[in-house]
Amino acid sequence: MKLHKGWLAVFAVLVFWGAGIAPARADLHLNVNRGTVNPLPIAIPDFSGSVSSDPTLGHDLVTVISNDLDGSGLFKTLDPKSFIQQAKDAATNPDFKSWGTVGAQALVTGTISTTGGDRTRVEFRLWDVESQQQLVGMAYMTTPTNWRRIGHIIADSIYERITGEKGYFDSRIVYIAQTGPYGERTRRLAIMDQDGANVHYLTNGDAIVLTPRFSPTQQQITYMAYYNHKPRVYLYNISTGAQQVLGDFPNMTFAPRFSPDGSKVIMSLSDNDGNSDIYTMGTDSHNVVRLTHTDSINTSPTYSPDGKYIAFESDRSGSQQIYVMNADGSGAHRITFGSGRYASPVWSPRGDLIAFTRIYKNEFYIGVIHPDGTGERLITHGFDVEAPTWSPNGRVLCFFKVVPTGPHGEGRSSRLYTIDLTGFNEHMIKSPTDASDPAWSPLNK
Amino acid sequence: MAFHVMVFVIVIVGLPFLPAIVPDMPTPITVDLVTIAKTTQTKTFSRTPSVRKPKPDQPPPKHETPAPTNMSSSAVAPDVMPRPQDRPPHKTVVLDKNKLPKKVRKKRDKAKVVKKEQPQDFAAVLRNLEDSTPKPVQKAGQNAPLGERMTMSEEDALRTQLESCWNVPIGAKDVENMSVSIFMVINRDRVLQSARIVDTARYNSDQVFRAVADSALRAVRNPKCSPFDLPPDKYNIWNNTTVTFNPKDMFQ
Repeated sequence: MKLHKGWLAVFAVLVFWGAGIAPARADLHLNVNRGTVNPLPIAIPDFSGSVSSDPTLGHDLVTVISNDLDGSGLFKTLDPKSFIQQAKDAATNPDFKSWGTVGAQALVTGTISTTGGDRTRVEFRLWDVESQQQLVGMAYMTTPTNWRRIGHIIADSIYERITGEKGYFDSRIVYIAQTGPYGERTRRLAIMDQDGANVHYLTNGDAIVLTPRFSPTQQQITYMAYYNHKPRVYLYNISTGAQQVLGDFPNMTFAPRFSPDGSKVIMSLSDNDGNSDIYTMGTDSHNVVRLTHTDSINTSPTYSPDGKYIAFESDRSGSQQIYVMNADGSGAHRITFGSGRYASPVWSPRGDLIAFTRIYKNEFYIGVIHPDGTGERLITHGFDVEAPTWSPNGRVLCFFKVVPTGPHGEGRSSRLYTIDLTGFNEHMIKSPTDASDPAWSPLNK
Repeated sequence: MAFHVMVFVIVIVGLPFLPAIVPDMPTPITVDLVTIAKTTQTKTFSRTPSVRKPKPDQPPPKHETPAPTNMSSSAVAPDVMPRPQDRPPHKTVVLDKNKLPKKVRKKRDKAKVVKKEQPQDFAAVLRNLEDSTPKPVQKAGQNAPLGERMTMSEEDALRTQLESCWNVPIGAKDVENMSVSIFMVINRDRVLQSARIVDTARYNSDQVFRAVADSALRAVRNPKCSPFDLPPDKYNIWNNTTVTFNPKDMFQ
């Protein structure tokens, strides 16, 4: 018996040794550190169903959604002529294989109907074609006249789910509309959807208006207008139309910008020596605090989205450069060191970049730089490109571009453009008149 | 006799457990062996340098654009906020491959052959008008285990194939630091059987990570990348494959 146990022990030892030296299961591990950058092919057949007040609503909605997504440069909506499955069938039972066949990686289906009297119900679903999984499904109810907003909201939802970032389509841009001959322009405050639709004029052109700025927290703007030849700053509530005078600032050249919480504005005021310094003022209290104290020009201040820092331009080093300081005015340090002059810094809503205008060798550039001064990139240029403003998600910049016109270049034409922060996908926003000084709103609420 | 047997057993059973005298050994130097095939098997994908052209202007919005009118600080009627209603029930439709009409299958096969999109060289995906010189590309690390293994060129073949199928969501905040691992089970015919994201917790909590992970899943499921470019005789190695997607080389 003892002998038997001994051999068992030998066997057991051999088994364990054998297991120890047997080759482990071989799995493959691979790193992929680059890919392609192509717009995502997405199919959006017309939404099925109908409402009596607008028989083409299903098609019109898809047009708005498609224009938004195509305009971002991150999506490529597929030609409906290539679709194999009918829109009404796709809305109830998508044939993913046929959508894969036409090259779609994502599919949007939707239905519209009338409910509760004159209310319109719009339902949509976003599908991943390869996995055949629903990524988003939402329904909205609204009045029929509000259908464009529904289109923008759906486009935002698709954008957010695919890119991981908030959308920006349900937003507006306030700008200066210009009419009349060059040199005698009538300048009116105007507002439109980010895609150029629904233009409204907020002032009648009697006064010269300049540099509107959007509040980051509410549908409110500040702008500067010359009243009796003196610059005056107004607060304008877009939702109610209520307007109030923030104050008369005889030494102000740019309208103030809001702090991230909207509780105060930040601005620069010049003195009699030609220098200027940066001040804050409470929008309700009108309490003014001075932040810089140098014998130089300090202007164009802009808050970081967390409100802890301020970027501004200054010539304290001898040339016009961008600086960053703490919100209380301490710790100012220079972040740009390139050739030429830097102006108009604007901090991105997502905090990672500061946009600016750079003037170099008689050309204007729009660029971006990290707040620590690294990673400067110039993303567009022209005869005159100025006034960058960020989309609410910090992904796209809007600016205005001036080009000479006329046989001898004696005239000027000014239009608004948008460009992706990667430096690609620049395109003009259609506007009924010349346009300048854009300011992008936060997402509509 | 019994004594001899007992001594023999003690020697066999007991010897392995005797304390071994371990001499002082020099610190081992780890050498990562790399197997290189005699001839490269990397497929040559034509890398057409491509600069994205600005898209043409958007067509003018169809909706009404009011003509300029004289207004004196008139109010803009507030938009009526649509109310998100009930979320439609989750619905997944799984269709039988065999039920696909012949016409569709034929078209799909044809599309596989015809629709060969050229991967683009996006050495610098962030445009800079001041300096657009592309930087050299670093190769990914070699992580194959010892023993039977894939050669470098075999791994490069699969890597190059997946690169051509991965559409990176460039521009998202900190996307260059996103690293997404996908665990794949691959059939012997080199077709994907299943794929899953390893870090599901982050997938459910980080929107940018989720977008990158979705793009990585789309890459491994992309028909353009099926079947995978793998050596058929090394099925035991690539049967279970983990691919880590990180777009860092595109930002150098």
